[in-house]
Amino acid sequence: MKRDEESMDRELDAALKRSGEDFRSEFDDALGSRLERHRNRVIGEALSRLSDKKQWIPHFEFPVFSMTPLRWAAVGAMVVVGLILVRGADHGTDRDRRALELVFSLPYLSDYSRELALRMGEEGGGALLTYAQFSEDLEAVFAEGMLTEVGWEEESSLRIDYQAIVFDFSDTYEMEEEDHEYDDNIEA
Amino acid sequence: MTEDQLLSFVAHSLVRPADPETYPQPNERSRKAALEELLRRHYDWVTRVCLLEISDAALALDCVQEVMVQVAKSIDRFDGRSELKTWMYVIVKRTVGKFRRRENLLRKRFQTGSNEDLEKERQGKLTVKDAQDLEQGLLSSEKNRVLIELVRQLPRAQRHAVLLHYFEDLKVEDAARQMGCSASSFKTHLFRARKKLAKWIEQCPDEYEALIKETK
Repeated sequence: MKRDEESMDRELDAALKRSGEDFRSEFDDALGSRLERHRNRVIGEALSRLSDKKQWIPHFEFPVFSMTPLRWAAVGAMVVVGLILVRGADHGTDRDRRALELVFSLPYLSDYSRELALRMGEEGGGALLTYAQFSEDLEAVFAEGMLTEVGWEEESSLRIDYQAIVFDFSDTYEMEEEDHEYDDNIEA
Repeated sequence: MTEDQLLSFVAHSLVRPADPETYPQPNERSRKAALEELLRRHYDWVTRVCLLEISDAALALDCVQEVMVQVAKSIDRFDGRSELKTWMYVIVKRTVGKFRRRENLLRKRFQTGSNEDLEKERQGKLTVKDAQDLEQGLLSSEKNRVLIELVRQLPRAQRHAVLLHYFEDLKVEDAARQMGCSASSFKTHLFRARKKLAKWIEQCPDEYEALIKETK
């Protein structure tokens, strides 16, 4: 006898519900015994894959504010760019570049001039490589006896080289009065 | 500990409140522990769905493992816009689809006379012992076997509707939310699924009579 659709739908609904209950009941029984081992293994495997992939990203917390590494990197990049811009305003001129070229092109001056350049970098603010300050610092190096190892001949050669720098600068830049006087003293 | 609290340990994309008492700063160990707890809480329903969707128990258990690994690998991208279960369900559906295709392929090879591939596939799995145990116990009753096998033949949306509503015992609204459809669409899927099952059962009335008799 063919059942009408409505009663068949009701019966099927009941059968499915009952089947679902049975399935969950059987599953719970299996979970207590047979599936326990599988569950532990599956979770262990998932966690091990996680550590192999190094999924954890360090997250820095500070009392005042909290930022993810990406934000820290962004802030750091902005600070670096800011410093470059600030320093570029002082050191990015043709004159400074020319001064650096001269300093590093002289064989005898190279060692301590590099030190001067480093000192300039540490002090910041573009304080050194104007012509007057450069000469002052160079004289300070001579005065501190940093060239004792090279002897007088070499030092005299250095002074000549230094004079060459001075004249080179004087060709390029308008020198101040005191600098001319200083050059005269050296020649004398 | 609530699921939200556990998730705040695990998913970086979630905004974590700064209150250190409610949400202590997670280190790697505590985050792993939180993820482990989450996986334990969701293991049951994931396994049930896989066992219902995939006939071969060994493949079903492999599918569970694949789901859990995928969840662990991508949990950091969980953004909290949905419930974790709904988010996981997408992974389950995708992974189950892959394993069903594999199962069908193996079954075709089996039907053509060579069952070496299926045996090789089973023996190569870590879960073969579990699968053998399961096959002796879980789903052993004939009435479940018949009905579940019929449900497995349903189109995907109807199959998922039946599994969530009847076998996962979810209310229509909850199941619809998990499937990502409206309640009325979900009811339509259920109705069509029952209609199709009834049609199939009509073609073999003896089995249907036996089924109804057993379930009453």
